[in-house]
Amino acid sequence: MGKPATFEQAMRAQIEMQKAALESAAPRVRALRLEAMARFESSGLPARKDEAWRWTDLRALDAMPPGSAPLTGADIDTLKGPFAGFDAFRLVLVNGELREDLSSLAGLPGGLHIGSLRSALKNEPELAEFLRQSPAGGSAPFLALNTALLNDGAFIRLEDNVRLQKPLHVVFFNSGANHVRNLIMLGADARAVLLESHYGAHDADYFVNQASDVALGSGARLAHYRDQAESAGALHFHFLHARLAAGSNYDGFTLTRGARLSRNESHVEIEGQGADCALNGAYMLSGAQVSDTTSVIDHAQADAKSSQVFRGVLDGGSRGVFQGRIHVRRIAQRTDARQQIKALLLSPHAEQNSKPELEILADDVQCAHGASIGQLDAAALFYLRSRGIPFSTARAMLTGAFLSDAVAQIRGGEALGAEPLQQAIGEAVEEWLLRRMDAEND
Amino acid sequence: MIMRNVMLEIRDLHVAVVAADGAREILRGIELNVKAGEVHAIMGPNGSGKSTLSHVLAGRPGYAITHGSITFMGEDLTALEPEARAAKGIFLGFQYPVEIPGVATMTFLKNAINAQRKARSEPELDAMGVMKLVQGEAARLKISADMLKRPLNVGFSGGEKKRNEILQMAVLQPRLAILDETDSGLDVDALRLVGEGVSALRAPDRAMIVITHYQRLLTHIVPDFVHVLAQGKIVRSGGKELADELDRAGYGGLIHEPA
Repeated sequence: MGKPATFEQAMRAQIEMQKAALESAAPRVRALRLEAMARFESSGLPARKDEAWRWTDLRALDAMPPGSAPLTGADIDTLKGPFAGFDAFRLVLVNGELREDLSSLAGLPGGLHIGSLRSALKNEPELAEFLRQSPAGGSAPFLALNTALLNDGAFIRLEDNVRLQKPLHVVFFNSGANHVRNLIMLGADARAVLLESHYGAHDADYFVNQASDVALGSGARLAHYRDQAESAGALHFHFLHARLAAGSNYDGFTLTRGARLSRNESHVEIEGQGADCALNGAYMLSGAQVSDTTSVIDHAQADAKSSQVFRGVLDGGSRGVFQGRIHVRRIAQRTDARQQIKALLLSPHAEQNSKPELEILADDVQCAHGASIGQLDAAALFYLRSRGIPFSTARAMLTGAFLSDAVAQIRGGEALGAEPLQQAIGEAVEEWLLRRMDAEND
Repeated sequence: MIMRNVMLEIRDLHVAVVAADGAREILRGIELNVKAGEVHAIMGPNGSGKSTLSHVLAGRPGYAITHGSITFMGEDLTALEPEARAAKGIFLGFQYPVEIPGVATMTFLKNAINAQRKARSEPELDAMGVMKLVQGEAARLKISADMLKRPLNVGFSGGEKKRNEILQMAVLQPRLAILDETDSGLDVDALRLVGEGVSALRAPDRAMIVITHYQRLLTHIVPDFVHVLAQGKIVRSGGKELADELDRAGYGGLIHEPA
């Protein structure tokens, strides 16, 4: 038998191989994975004509090497990125596998469990219920694939009323294909700040198909900030499925700067009254990078708030996609839902496609959305230059200012406040801007 | 009479503004010499080309010099980018200072000061050095520490914006300051504050071009020369008494409509 010709064929072959190994798994886990396998086998990968993928070409998957690039100590021994400097409980996963030797989990407070999802499922197979497929979305085939090939990931659980005083930091270091799966559960009134760093071996080509399930109990607060700085050749797919109970609060931010192609899809289900959800982010793309941000916020209960503020900067021949759907059900009265996407094109070859969608069935709601695409303000650029600030610096200052609208949304939490977090993310933004300036001046 | 070198020399300057529907000539043969230590007022009715002249001197994109020359300190100014002109000592006080959300005023000042120092191969100032330089001038212009923390010009009143322009001029210490309608939109008190701020910056090695529609700013900044710009040309030049004359008689008698 020859090498599979396409990514999809390779995935089908992997599923076939893993079916046999499922015999030894706990019945609930086996059922979960078999169901996902069947779903992927019948759906296959999304086609270009699929509305949810019309702007994102998946053919790049076919060129992905099936294995992992060899790792050296230098690759993983030094933490990188904006969150590396924070004192945190740290979990490090290399290609989706927990590496306890690289993690720092000493002195965990009572009521916090953090570790491997694989071990957690072994001890408590009923956790598989939380990994069940959410209502169909554009990324459903990738989520099905993730569940079908479920191996390991981060498992984080806070018992009721546990309020962490130190942030949690999960580092995903990648050099090869993986389908990492995370489960994050906060009990009633629990509070945590969760930081994620995603990066990879220098220049490695790899495919990451990551999914995270977040379940917040009533009154729980999760501040969840992600830095996606994958290798330049990587493909990064991330699916977030969050369920918010009454009065809970989810504050999310994703900084996208890495990967050749990335997709961030988030489905938030507001299951309890008065929940508050923020999904914010900034993306900075250059060269031939493509990044797709897709969100579905389902207001299924009354008196809840959702807010999305995204800023995208596109240089070179890069392309940004934003598809945001807000669904307000009939009973979700007094919903306050806001969505705003602004893109800044730094090059005539860059492109942005934005598609906001509102589906409002309740009558007493406040919903607002706005999408704009623009260029740097020539008057502002001249003003800065007239004071002696060189063109490339002036451009970087204005671009940074544009992105700061999104960064300023980061609220932080008890374990780590807004100021150090905004500053850390701001420095990552600045680093990107300086790199662009250098590239320009060369 | 003391012989002083000419700092700025404008010869038969013709400038067109470039728009989508073609080029339109705005300046039609400007002649002007400015020496160190001098203050020149340029007056004239709306649409005479006053602001165009100031923009062209500062290097704003969108204008085409179709004829003539601008020489600053012996160098062809038109070949330089706006930032290079600033580093050589040219400062434009904007008629409409631009609001820049997301850039704190202090950060902007630090960037501007150090960019110019770097271009002149002078050592850059650290945050403390910049702070010291800015604070004294800010106090003189009644600019609060809070204003310096706010995003550049965002939510500033008209008077605050103009005072902020003078603050920038004071800390950047230009050789040639061009003040474009700095008096527009100012009440009497703000006008005095700005006028005194500018006057304090008069120096033997610094020249100023004060562009204004009205005579009132010139009671605070007394010019050595007054020029009347009309239809893209300087139609009359004189001493400070010319400003008083214009104030009494208006521009009507000076401007001859082309046949």
